Amino acid sequence: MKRFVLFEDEASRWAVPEEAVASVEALGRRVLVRLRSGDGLLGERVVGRKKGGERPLGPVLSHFLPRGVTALALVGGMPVPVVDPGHPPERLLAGEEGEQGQREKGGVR
Amino acid sequence: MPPFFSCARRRVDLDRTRELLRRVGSEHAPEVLGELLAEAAREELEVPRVIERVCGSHGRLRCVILGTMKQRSGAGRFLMVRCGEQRILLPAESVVRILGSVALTPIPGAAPEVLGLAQVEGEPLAVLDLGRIVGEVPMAGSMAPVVVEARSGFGNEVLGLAVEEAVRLLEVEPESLSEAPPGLPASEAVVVDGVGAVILDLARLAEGTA
Repeated sequence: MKRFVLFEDEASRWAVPEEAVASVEALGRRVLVRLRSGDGLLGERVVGRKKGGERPLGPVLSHFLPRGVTALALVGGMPVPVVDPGHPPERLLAGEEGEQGQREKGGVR
Repeated sequence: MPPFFSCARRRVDLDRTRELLRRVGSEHAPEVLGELLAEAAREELEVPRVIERVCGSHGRLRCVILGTMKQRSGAGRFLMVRCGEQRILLPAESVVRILGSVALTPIPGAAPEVLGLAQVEGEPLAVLDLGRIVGEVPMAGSMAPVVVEARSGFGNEVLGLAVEEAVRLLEVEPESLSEAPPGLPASEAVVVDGVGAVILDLARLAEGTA
């Protein structure tokens, strides 16, 4: 069993290995999961930090699942894709401009 | 180098093996293939034994090569499934279990063939639309009517194949096999009860042949 930070974007739930997460910050009405690699992942809300079993992807599923997903996990009773903290899916990445814009609006707490 | 490494009536497609090894990032493809041929020439071993010897502890290499192996010896046992008009045979040894309808959670950004994620006996399972993979009408909705949980042949990789119907188990004689139609992730074609069917080659799914 591994510990994950579980968060949601508008379309899905995602898991990030907890050891790869540096911090979780509010960003306006959204959340920013900051990774130790320096990348930030934008989501709607953090569901929690939970333990879960992980099933790594093989070459067939890697071919069909989004780039940046390394495994599947069952976390909090739900099957979720596990984000590769080294190369996260682009759709989750917080762009510098977007993050900066939110900061200027005083969104970051 | 011949296109097939054949021993004890089992065959490894060397061209496909080379391509798959390249895709999984193995720099050792030429050496591995050379050793396979040398071993096969030296001793009359079953192909899986030769592969075990050559690949040793390199589990991924072993899986890649085994995934390209065509069993031509004796009768093969298959699960026949149906997707639309297409009948597909899944090697029986790759089938883990057949599930009734399962609820699916979509994965944004995944290929259109991915119906979603399911939870099966405490494990996450990615479910692919097998009908869509073989060119039939895609399934709709967040429930798959029948899901066959199957091993891909690559390590411990397990995936779900959503089908319309799991028809029956059957034996296929090697002499009834013919070339699979192009464009399908299939190794061979066969006629069952007067109707054409294809044998799904799960390893070919990793190559994106669909």
